[in-house]
Amino acid sequence: MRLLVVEDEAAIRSQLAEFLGGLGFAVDVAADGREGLYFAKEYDYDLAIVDIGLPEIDGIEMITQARSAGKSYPVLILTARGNWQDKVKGLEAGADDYLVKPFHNEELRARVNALIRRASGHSKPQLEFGPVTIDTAAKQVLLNGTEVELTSYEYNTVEYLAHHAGEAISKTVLTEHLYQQDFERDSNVIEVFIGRLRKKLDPKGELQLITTIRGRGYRFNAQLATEPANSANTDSAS
Amino acid sequence: MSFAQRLSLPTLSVSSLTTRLFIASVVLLPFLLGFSATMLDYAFKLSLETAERDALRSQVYLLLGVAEPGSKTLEMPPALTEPRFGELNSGLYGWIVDGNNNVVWQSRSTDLIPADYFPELTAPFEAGVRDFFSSQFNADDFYLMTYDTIWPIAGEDARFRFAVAHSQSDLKAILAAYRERLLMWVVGLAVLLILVQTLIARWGLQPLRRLARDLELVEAGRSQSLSGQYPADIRPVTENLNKVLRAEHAQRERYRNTLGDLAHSLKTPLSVVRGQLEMADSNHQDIMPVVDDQISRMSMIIDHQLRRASAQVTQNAVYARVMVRPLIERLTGAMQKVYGDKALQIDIKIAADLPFSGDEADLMEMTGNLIENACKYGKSRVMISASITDDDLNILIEDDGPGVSETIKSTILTRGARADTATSGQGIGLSVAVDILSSYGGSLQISRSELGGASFNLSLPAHGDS
Repeated sequence: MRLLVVEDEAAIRSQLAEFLGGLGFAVDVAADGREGLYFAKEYDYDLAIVDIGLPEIDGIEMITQARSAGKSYPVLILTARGNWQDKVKGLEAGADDYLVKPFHNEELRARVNALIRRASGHSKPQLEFGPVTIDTAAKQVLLNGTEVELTSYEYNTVEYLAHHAGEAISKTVLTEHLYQQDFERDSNVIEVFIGRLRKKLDPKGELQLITTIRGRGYRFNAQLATEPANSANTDSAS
Repeated sequence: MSFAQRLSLPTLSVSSLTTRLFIASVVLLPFLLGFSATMLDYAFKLSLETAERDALRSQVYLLLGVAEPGSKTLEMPPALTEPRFGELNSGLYGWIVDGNNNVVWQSRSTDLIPADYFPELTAPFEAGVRDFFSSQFNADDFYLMTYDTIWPIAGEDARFRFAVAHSQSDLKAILAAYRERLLMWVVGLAVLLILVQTLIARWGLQPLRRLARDLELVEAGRSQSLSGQYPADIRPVTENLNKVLRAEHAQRERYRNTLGDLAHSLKTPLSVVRGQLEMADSNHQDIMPVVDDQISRMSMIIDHQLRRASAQVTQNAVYARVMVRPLIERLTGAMQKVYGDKALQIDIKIAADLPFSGDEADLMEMTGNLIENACKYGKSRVMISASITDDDLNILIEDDGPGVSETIKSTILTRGARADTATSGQGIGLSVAVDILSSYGGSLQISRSELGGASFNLSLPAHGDS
């Protein structure tokens, strides 16, 4: 999962980057609205966290412009004033949720997870695909009710694919959403992850959980889903 | 001490301009009209007297013309051309006295008047001099004309004084009739003038009355500025008032922004501290809850105190009128987004033209927190209704959630022990609503909704005064 954090206060920006990085997110940071808008338009994030009071271009304007540029990933706004005019303006500009400073990291984590989950069309934190259950709140995967041991990168890979079930996800996209920008990209690593995931989640190969589509990437088997999932990122305006 | 104070004019303490003008004219009119009437009366009397003098002079000349020097004294013909000299008590009398004041002739009209009733003509003798004066004799007022002359009688110069007296009773009757008519005209004129003056005052002060009406509209929040066309005399006043209104609005906006900036700059460091605390290693686990709790308290105190400061500055403001429904729809639209996966059914039962006289931001703060709570705690339904009853704007926010416990209810509703003592949960957000609500002179009731959950009833004065 790749997140964008736009916050002008250096201390909060680095705390957010550190905290979210620690949760396994790939995090891009921007210190002002102009830089934030550049990132927001340039990349497809899974979520953006935007402070309302930004220099250069304020947060609300930044969100408006990103939305009119066709970016539909969920946006969480941070506000220190906490007044309703700011909140409502932010939500009307295209944000999906807000958090008032000073917030607890746990609260932030819950909001971020909920927004990513909702954006993929899932209303519950547990995504079920036949015998496989992905618990996005606890960040664990269960196979027939038993927890499967996964590294955080393996978990992030399966969660990303599951959120985009039914879509072909290229190795490049997968790399972009899973690693920090300066990570040395090696598509072999992805192949290794996928191979390990298939072994751990579908040892007998009967579920066809992750299929390879030649030249286009990987696809998570959406037909196994017990809850009909929308295609990604359509929830933000509902 | 001002001129008016020295004069201690009672009219200056009268508050209505119309009354002032009325009183001024009531005081001034009698003076002006009285003066005019006196002048007219004097002029008329003067002209009557002049005519009288001319008439008497003619009579004297008539007597002079017919007098003939006799052997011992002057001789007069038995009948004169003026018939009134021959008519008893006709009111016109003539007589001639000699140098020793002895009557040498008297007209027939004086026959019934004893000679000593004639006024004494005491003026020193001076030949060729006429004298005109008023005198009283025989129980009547008379105008008298005398003429002194020297006549040669038997070779010697003899002095003679010709006198003609005419009763004033005719003149008095004419003057009385004139005065009666004059009084009628003056009274009629006074009434007419007061009437016209009142109408002029009403017409002239009409723009001021319109100004008062327009100001009332501004105060009631139906208008943002004085928009009417005013005469040039009071345009400076209305333009300045508009400037003041705009400045006041801008000032309030600036103040609110400053407070917002202050909140921002105070809470950002708190945010950093909290973030740092949560990222810190676990060596200081024991102090963490304490510090975290203090951060929460500081944050709440900032909110509470800034809101109070903001409420004080906006308390006596002249407000615009805000339509309730669109504002509530914006809030519920925002909430539908935040609580999108709950698929809440939110019903709004508010007339499209229902107004709130106050600040838009304040109404948003008051209802925003309550609506968010309803969406947060409600299971599937939220209902928002509003209406104006008995000068109160009532906004009812209901949900089908678990409702509000008695302890939380009393925490919310206890004034004074709000922001800095509330610890968590519903109390915090609602204390803000209660803060603003009380600055408007409104109140909050919490009860159980027919939907099954909590029902929050915001009650605000509909005219916007506190």
